[in-house]
Amino acid sequence: MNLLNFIVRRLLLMVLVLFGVLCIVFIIANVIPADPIGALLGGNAPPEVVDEYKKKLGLDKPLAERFVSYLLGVLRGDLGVSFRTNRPVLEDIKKFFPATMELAIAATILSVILGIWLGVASAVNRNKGIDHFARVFSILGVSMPVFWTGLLLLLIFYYKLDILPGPGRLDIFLTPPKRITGSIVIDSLLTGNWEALKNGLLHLIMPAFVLGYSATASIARITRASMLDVLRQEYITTARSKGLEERKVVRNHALRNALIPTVTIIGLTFGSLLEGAVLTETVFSWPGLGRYITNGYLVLDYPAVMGGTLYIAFIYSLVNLIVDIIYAFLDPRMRV
Amino acid sequence: MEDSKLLSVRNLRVIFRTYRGIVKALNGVNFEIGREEFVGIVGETGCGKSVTALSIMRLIQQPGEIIDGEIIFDGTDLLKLSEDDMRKVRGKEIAMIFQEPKVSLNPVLKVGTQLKEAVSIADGIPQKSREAEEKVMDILDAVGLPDPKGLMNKYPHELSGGMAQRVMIAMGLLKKPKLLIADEPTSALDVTIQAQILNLIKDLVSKFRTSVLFITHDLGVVAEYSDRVVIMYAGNVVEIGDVYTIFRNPVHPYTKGLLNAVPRIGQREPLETIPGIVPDLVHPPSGCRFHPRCSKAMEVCSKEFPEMVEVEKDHFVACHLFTRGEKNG
Amino acid sequence: MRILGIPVPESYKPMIEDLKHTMYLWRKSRLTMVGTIIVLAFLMVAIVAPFVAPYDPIEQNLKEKLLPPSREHLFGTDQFGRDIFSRVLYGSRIALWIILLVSLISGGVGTMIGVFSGYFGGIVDEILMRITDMFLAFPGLVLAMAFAAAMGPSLTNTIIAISLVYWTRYARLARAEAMRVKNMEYIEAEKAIGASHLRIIFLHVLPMCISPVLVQLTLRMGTIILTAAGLGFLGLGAQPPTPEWGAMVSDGRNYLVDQWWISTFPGLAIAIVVLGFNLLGDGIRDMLDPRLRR
Repeated sequence: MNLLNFIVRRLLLMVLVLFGVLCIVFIIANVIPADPIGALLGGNAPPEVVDEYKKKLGLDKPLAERFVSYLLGVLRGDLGVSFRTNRPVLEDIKKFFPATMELAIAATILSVILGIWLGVASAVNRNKGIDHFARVFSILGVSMPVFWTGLLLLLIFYYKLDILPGPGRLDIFLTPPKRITGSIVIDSLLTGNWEALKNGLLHLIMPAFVLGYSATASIARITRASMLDVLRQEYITTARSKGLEERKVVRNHALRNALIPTVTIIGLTFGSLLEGAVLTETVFSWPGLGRYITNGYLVLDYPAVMGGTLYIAFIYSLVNLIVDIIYAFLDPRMRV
Repeated sequence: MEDSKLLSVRNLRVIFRTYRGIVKALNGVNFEIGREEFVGIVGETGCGKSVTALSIMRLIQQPGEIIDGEIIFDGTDLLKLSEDDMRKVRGKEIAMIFQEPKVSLNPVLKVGTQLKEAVSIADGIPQKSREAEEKVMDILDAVGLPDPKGLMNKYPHELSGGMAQRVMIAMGLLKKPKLLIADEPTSALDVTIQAQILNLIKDLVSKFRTSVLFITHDLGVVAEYSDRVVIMYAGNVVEIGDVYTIFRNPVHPYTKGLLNAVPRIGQREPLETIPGIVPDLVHPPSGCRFHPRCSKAMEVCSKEFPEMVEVEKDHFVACHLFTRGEKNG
Repeated sequence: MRILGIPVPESYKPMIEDLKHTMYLWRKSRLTMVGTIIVLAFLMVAIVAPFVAPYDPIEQNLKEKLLPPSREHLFGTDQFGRDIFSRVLYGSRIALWIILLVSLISGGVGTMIGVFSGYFGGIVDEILMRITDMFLAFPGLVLAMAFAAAMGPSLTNTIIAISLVYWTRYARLARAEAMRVKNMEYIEAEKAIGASHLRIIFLHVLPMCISPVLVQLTLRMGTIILTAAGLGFLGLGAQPPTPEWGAMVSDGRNYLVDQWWISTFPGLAIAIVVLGFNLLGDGIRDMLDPRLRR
């Protein structure tokens, strides 16, 4: 019906946007001048070698031709071959992305639960202790640089106190579970590898917290604001005048209305999570897509960078699409 | 025990703490409601009508606060009840309906869900039970809504204003409360719907033997439906009397002004208005709050607050024209 | 019309009539005051850094490398024997430079695009807004990384890269404002007397759009610092030996366990300054929120 109509419209728009994303990525990698061959071979490689590399990498062809062949490649699922790893970029993404996803999902779960709880608690107890605490906690969350928080936590909880494991997804001496989904937690659950599960979860705690902190803060803040707004609405007075307990007024009447804007912010914070993942993965030596892209940038590994960036933009758009659909579903007024 | 009255509000004072200072919203309000009586409260916007209603329900929210007074309902002072006990009064003994029916229903819950919730609070039966559903259907039928079953599956935004107000009335009268507070229930509705809703309220309350506190700025509605009238001005009750007395023999200058501002059919002269504006309740006028706008103001009016006096049987007024033995002019 | 030195549109007029209330809100919120003080202190430090810094921020002194905090070196020294306190002080100038230029470029570009889009509407608007959507499809830092890497990492390119990412926000804001303004009667009157589009845009529409954009710019300053520091940390921002805070945190990574001060102090500087901007931004937002003003 109308919801379906809305989804189809959003999907078409997404296709258009993704085409634009591809153009932007291609322009960044091919038009903005920088010297990929120089970065690969060093500044003073003999011209014959440079030419040979250019030919090999297809950089000698005209720009338009390169664009068309890249576009066709992407449509076939061929993102080219990484200069650095010499593997197809798609293979690399398949290898690294599950680690990013695991981290991002853990951080999302953490931030949604903690953020909504904090937001509701501080709205209901406005200007009381918990409210002040939540405000300070939130404002610190959006102010501290992710990479610095990560380093500090590593220093304290790993190097000094040694109560949490250090960088990486698993202790070095531990055999990882057989790769099924690429998520250590899920794979070790599936294979019944309890030791790896425990170790993997412990390794997740710090990076997930670091990554989720600023998202928690934004979610708590928007939930508080919308909860305060909802609690002023007349239907809340109606619910109270029915003789409903305040706890139930909050849970049954206010929460669902208040969560509508929160859902939108969750989509937005997922973007900041992907951003933060780049930094968090670098700090915690987490073998994810963010680190793959960063390393790609440092040596101008264009196929890897283009593919990785394209992929991240794709995931980000997809999440926002899902959020829009959930939004439409939550608010019956949207479905008309 | 003077138990003949259902509700007596005595010396009720409510303030709101704002950045501009303390708003003295209610400044010692007194009135009573008898059993099965229909009482109208009349006054301009901001005179404290709605605050009075919410105070009786004890639903004044921050930054508002009830600082003094008694609200004796059926023999108990509501202001002394614990929050738990007060909750049992709400909905069951005193129900309330509001001005904007469409925003008074939760937009994300189906109409049926909201009604069944009310049933389950009042009667302690599970919300999802067959019994709850039947009760809701009965009451929807009673308020004259066609197709109760289909209606229960609708969301509030799918209803018209009149239908939504009928739903609100159904919700309010579900438990046959002793008192129904109606805060301008028809102001947001079309004129043609207004009369239907008012007649519905009137019918149902007489059937359920419910008293009504009817808040409005529409004198016509008051004249037609009320037994007694309470006139409020700037946080005070200025005149109380039965509906005939108030309309035939108003004595407070404000009441007179109010009645002169209502057009009558056949009237040729221009309408009179009350000069001046409603006072700022952060810095209300001293003495009688109406004195800056009053054509009969005397020296004493700006100095002393007029006490309520009985000018004739059951006709009370708070005006210095009557407190000092002066004759009405 | 200005509030706290920030111009705001005429629609906020009640706020001026109610300046007392604004000041009341400002005083009532201790956090906003703290934010104001931090930002002012940051500006002061950036101005006086060359006069108060005890050491040269770039000159190496290998004899004094990796010294812990002491009276001579308040924040200790790094692996090249540079005084971290002096580098942090100088870093405030880099941060301020980045904030100012990024705000200017992204605010300027965004406002112009938004105004043209909103004023002309139709196909121009459609194209410009779809382009905006495309930029918004990337997580900000990822796109900034791409620009910075392609142009080659440097302070200037950091500024350009971040500006290229953030202009979209201001474009949307200015567009909304331009669409509102262009339908006002005095614009119709201007058109009726034959004023050119450019005249109307520059004399009437643009000035109205600047105010909301400026408010939004102040709200975003903390984010700009964080993004720039993130790029610096990843090695895609200002290059050594520039005393950029993010790069300084990265310098200390390998010395984290025994020489914790190398990373800690520059990171703390970022956190405090961003906190200041966020507190101030929060305060401004609260003061502009009509619901809180009741």
